[in-house]
Amino acid sequence: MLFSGEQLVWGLFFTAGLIAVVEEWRISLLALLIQYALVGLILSGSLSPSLALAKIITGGMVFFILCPTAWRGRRKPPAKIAGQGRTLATSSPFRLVGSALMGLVAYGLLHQYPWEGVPTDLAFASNFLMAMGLWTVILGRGPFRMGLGLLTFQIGFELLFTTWERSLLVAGLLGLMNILLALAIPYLEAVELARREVER
Amino acid sequence: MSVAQGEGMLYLAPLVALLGGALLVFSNARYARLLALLSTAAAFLFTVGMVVRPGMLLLRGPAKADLLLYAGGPGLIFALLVTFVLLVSIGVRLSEREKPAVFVSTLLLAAGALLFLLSHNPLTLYLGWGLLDLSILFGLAQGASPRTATRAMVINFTAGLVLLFSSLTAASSGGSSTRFSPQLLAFLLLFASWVRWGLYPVQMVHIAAEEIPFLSGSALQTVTLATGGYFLTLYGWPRLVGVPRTVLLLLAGLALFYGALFTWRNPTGPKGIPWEIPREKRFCLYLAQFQMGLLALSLLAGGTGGGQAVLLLTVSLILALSVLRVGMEVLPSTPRQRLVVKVALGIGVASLSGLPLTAGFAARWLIYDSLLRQGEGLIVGLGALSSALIVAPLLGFITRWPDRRTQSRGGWASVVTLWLLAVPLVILGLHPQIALVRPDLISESFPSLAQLLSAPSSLPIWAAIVLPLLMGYLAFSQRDTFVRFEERLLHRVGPLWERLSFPIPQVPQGSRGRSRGTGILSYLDLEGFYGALEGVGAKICSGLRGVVMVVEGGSLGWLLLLAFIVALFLLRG
Amino acid sequence: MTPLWIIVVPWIMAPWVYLFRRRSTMAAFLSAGTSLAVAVICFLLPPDQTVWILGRGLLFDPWRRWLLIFLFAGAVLLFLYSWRLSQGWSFFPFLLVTLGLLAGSAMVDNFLLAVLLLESAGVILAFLIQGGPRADPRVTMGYLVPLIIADSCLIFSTHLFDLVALYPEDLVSVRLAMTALTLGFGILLAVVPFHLFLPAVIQEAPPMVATFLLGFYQVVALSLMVGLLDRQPWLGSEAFDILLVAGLITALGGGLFAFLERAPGRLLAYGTISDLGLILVGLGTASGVGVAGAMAHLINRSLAIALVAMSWGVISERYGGERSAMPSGVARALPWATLGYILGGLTLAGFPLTGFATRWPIYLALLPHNPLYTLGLILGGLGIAWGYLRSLTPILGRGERPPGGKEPLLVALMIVTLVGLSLFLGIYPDYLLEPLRNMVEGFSFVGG
Repeated sequence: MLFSGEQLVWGLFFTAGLIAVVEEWRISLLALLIQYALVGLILSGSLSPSLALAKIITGGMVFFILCPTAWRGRRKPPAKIAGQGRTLATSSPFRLVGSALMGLVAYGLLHQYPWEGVPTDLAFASNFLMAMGLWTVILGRGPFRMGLGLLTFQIGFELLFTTWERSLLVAGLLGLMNILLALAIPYLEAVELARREVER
Repeated sequence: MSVAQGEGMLYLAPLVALLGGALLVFSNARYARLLALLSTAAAFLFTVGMVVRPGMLLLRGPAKADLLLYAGGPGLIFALLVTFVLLVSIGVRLSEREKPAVFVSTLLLAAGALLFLLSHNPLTLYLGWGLLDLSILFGLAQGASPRTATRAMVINFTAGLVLLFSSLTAASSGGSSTRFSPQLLAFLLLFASWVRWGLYPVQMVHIAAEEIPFLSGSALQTVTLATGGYFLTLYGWPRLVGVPRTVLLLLAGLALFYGALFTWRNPTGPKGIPWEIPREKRFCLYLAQFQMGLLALSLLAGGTGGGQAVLLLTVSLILALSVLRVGMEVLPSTPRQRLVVKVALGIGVASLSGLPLTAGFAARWLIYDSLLRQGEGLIVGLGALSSALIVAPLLGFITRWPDRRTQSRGGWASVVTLWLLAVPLVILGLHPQIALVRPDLISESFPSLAQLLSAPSSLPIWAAIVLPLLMGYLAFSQRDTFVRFEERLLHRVGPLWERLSFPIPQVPQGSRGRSRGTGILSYLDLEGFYGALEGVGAKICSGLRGVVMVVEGGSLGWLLLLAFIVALFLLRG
Repeated sequence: MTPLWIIVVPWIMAPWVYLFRRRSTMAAFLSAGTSLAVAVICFLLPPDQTVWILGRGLLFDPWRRWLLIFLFAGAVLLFLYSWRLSQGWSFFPFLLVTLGLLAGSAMVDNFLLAVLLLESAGVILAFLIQGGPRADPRVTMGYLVPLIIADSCLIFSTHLFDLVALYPEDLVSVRLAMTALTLGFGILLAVVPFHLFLPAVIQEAPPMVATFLLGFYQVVALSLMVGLLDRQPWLGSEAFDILLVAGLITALGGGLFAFLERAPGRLLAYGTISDLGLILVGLGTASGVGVAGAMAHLINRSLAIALVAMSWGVISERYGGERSAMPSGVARALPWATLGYILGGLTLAGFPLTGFATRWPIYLALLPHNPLYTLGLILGGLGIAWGYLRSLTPILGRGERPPGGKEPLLVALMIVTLVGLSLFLGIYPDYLLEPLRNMVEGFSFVGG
């Protein structure tokens, strides 16, 4: 393998942190895509290659579904898209500190409730992704940012669950869920942008 | 559901007639009046049939949800009265254009009342209550002010739920509660019956009855008095052990004075009853409250032997008030008709005053007799004093009855219909025991008039009844003197009076009645109290609503926090 | 003909309906016809069948049969209503797809797959909730996020079922599973205090979408929960205790919030939340009477929701889309809608002759536990009633005629039909209670 399991997990930490802290849509989307790829690579080590490939393909589809929407919203800074001025919650230091806190929460949960049959680093990565996903959702001021957080949460959950449930049907349905979410997010974001245009 | 008795359909027939009539009127507005009259007549005839052939009807439902109707108890008397008054009221309005919705709501009211009155187990009673409340809701939509309607529905519905809860707790332990004290249950039943009756300070339904059209209003007041009276005979306040009597006596006394004082003053203005309600209509409200207060006092003081006084007073009150109401609707065209109408109204007034040879006299006799036996002379005195206050306004009502009217309405048919209501007042005055209908229902029989006249201990009672009549007549005949005296008195206590009273309201142009400061009456009215309650409630609700908005605004964060807390709680240990 | 048609037919028709989405008449009749046809298929198919797809079973037993008939027959009403009062062009095709997914979720034997199908249906409902530009997208996101979290909890619990099956003495797994199920169903069904997202969703969503979410989607979710209670006996009495407590808190909390509320959409949401609490309490009693009452009340509740939503939909549409308050003088202008609104509200509140009939068995079943619990349920109903009675003030008042005119005839007929049905069930509840009582006796957790 190109990267070791530990490196892949660190990669996941980094991408999740990027999504939560950085509001720039290009970076966030790219981080999301990389997340899907990393998850696929992690799972390829322990599961069948077809499952891993399914994850990567899903990630790719999600990326290409979200791209046009992010492009449309590119002219407005994220705070303006949400119709709010800059606040503490939208400042990067606050997000950074919060992300670190989420890391601590994930670490604490790992030791309190260790997941059966899941390697420690994988369990931590999964906990961290779920926590960061929820953190991004809470901070998010528009459907796009909240959607990214939701997808991050979903990735973390699937990372965990796929180690237990290896059925292709279940993986397919979980992938379908990601696609449906990815379709819903641009739809909602488009409506949000249209409402902001009308208000201006 | 199954019927457990072969001939049971007779006991459902009046209900079916009324509900079917309501449906038919709703669907066929053209023949609304005729359909309403026919269905009410059918209901009345079926009720008479039940008198001839009393019995029970059991409808078995699932999970012990059985409906039990009993045609034979005191409820039958009230049911007969309700259908009779309704029939007469519709008959009076037959020649007038009335909106079909009024007929529908009236028939529904009567149907609800009948289900309530013929109920014989808690579930049926509660269902009857519910149907009654629903019917009242639709009746109030005919024109009651939103504030009055909302208050009436809120208090009625609360009382209904209180009744349900007390029925459930009683049923859960086979009639005697092990978890709840008998005092609490008794208090709950008292509250429910107080609301059903519409006694001050929860007289909202009676107020609303004055705001809606004649037919619905007449039906609503009749139904409220009948169902409340039936509820009283069913539960009997003297049996309510442990309820704080002093407070209740105070409330009943306030009701008595409220009715009497407001009948005397009949104030206008923005405080209290909306001034849009005609002066004469307000009479019915205040008179009812006075008489109900008197009965409540006597019941709370020591009971009146079975359901006698409740029965007779309620019957006489309903008939007398109906005479006044119907009389107000009849506009005679010839002098002879006017005289006949005035005499009928006079009978109604006489019964309300307690004049001998009327049903009201017999009712008061029973009440005062029972009170004196209990040694409650003070309450008898209070009752007599209050009676004096209402006589003058009643006489004024009769004498103000216009001799000349520019338009006529009804003709001899309406006049005859009016007398159908007035004659029973005299008959019952002469033979009170007729009110029983089924003498085996109430253990003690009413005394006959001969027995009343010959009883040696009857002198105090005679005094309590006749003296107020004389005093009232005196006040009426010398009213100018009284008015001047009152004005001088008010002038002397002016500053103190102003401190006690609300500012004298500015009476709008064209209003009827005297524009006087209503001081203590304003307090008695409780409009300020209810307004303050509503204000406090609104503030609390506003605060809570603010909390809800804040929490829902950041709902995702709160959701996760709460989920975390619940998870910690469930995973403990 | 196999039960698979129940899932497949709506999916087959959905693209055709999508083609005609701009022609509401065609779309409505195609959709309604499809739903009706599927309901008839459900009725005609013999019960107690199993179809195997990819190694998974699709069960068609009497319980599921009537659930699916209820689902598809109800959908017919929704489609017909939407024909006269638009719920968004996406309503017809997307709802058909959702119906197919819900049918699959109801029939599939495997809990994990059922949850996944339910979740997919929920995500598609987000499109309907948004309904184009009318709703606030953040509200729709506020619906999506709890849905994903809830379903993740439920999916996670399926792994724990396997652990419990392997190591029944492992209390940690049992407790974790219980927690995951509690959170999952609690958030999915908007049990207090997880209900925070629902009022805004119901207020913003088109009325028929709100009806579908509250009156049909939640019914399928509840049926999954009941199936779980039936098939996983290790959940034990603690699960029923949790149901009882959660139900009581929900009934009381929903009633309190309904008491405070003025906006009709939010009032409906809180009323249904409170009613859901009552249903959970009925299930929590684990008695034949209580569970049958809960199932019957579930149907009555859906009826009431449809009634209120249809009526309120007409009122808000005729008065120019106003959603935050009841306009004045509605009773005179729109009498049928007023009748439906009031009666639906009273049904939710448990008024006699309407919703009381199906509440009564639950009250009876709860009495042996503690009469105070019954008082709590009654108070919850009182809160809902006060909320609706408060709207009497503008309803009965005087106001201007709506610019949109009277109710459409079809909608008025539908409202009257539902009113009649509600009253019928209120007066003759045994038509519902008796067959349900026989059905619930087959559940393993039902005691006396």
